[in-house]
Amino acid sequence: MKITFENKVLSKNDRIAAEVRRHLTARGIVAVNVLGSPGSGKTSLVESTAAWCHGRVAVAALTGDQATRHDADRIERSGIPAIQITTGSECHLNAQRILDCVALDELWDIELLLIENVGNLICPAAYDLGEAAKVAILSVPEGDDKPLKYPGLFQRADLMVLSKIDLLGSSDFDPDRAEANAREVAPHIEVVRLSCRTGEGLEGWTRWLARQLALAAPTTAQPA
Amino acid sequence: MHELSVAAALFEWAEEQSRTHAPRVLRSIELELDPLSCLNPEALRFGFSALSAETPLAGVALELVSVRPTYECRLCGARLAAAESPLSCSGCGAPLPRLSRESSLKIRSIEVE
Repeated sequence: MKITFENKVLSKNDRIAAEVRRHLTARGIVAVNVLGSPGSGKTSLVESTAAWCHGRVAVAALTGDQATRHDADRIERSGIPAIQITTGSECHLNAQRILDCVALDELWDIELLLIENVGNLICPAAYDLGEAAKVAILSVPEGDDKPLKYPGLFQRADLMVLSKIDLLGSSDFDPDRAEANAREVAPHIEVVRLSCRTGEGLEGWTRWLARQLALAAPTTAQPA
Repeated sequence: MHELSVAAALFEWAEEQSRTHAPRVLRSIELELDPLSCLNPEALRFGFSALSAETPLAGVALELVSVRPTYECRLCGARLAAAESPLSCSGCGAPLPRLSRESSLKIRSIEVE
C-alpha cells in the first residue's frame, strides 16, 4: 500500500526556519544572513552598518563562531547590541540557534537583525535561518574565481558584497571578472563593491539595506 | 555534506511511520531531491542503511527522485521549477527570480505492506 504526503519537509531545520520567519515577519524585523570565508570582512561590514543605522534604524547583531566572543565584543563597541552564538564543533548556524535568540530583550524592539554566520563558504549556505535575505561576502584577497568554485552560496545569495576593494591592485583580482563569475552561477545576484576600511562604496550597501527595510514595511508589503 | 544528520532525521521519522502503520511493514520511502540541495544521494543512502542496520527498519529502500530546483519570483512570489536559473518570471515578467528558500528534500510517499 502506498501512502503519499503533501509537501512533507523532512528537515527539522526548515521547519524551525519557517517558525523564525513567522516571528520576525510578525514583528516587522528584517533579518539579513551574512555569509563568507573567515577573514572576508563580515564583522567589519556589521560594524560599518551599525554606524549607518545610528539614529536611523534600530539594529542588533547575532554573530556565530566556533569559539570566543571576540566578534560580539567588537560589534558592541560599535554601539549596537550583539549576541555571540558559539557553535562548538559545528561549522554553521542553524535555525534553532536563531529561534533561541528571537525572544531576547536585545532583539525586542529592532527593525534590522544582522546575522553574521560562521566563517565558511560551504555549509552555512545550506541552512535557512528564517532570514529575509542572504548576503555573500567575497573579499579581494580570496580571488575572483570563488563564485565558480563554491556556487552553492552564491546561488542562494541575494547580494554579493565585494569587500576590501582598497586592496585592488595588490593582486590579480579583477572585480569585473568576480561579478561575471557570480552571475554565471547566479544570474539574479546583485553586487556591491566596498571597503569598510576606507568607506568607499558603502552607500551601495546601505541603499540595498534601505530597500530591504522598505520592502518589509507594512505599507509596501510584498508577497513572501 | 550533512547527509548523516539528514539521514538521522529520516530514520527518526521512518521509525514513527513504522509504529503508526504496524502491523504493516514499511518497505520503502520515496524522496524528492533537488540537485542544488548540497546532499549526496549515495552518502544519504549510506547514512540511512548504517542507522537502520539491525533495527526493524533494516532493508527499507530509499527511492530518491531528482527534481528540478524551484525558483521564486521576488515580485509576485510565483514558484517556478526550472533546470537553470530563469531570467524572468513566467507569471509577471519580473526579472531574475531567486532560488527558493523552501526545502530541497521532501518526502513524497512510503510503501507499506
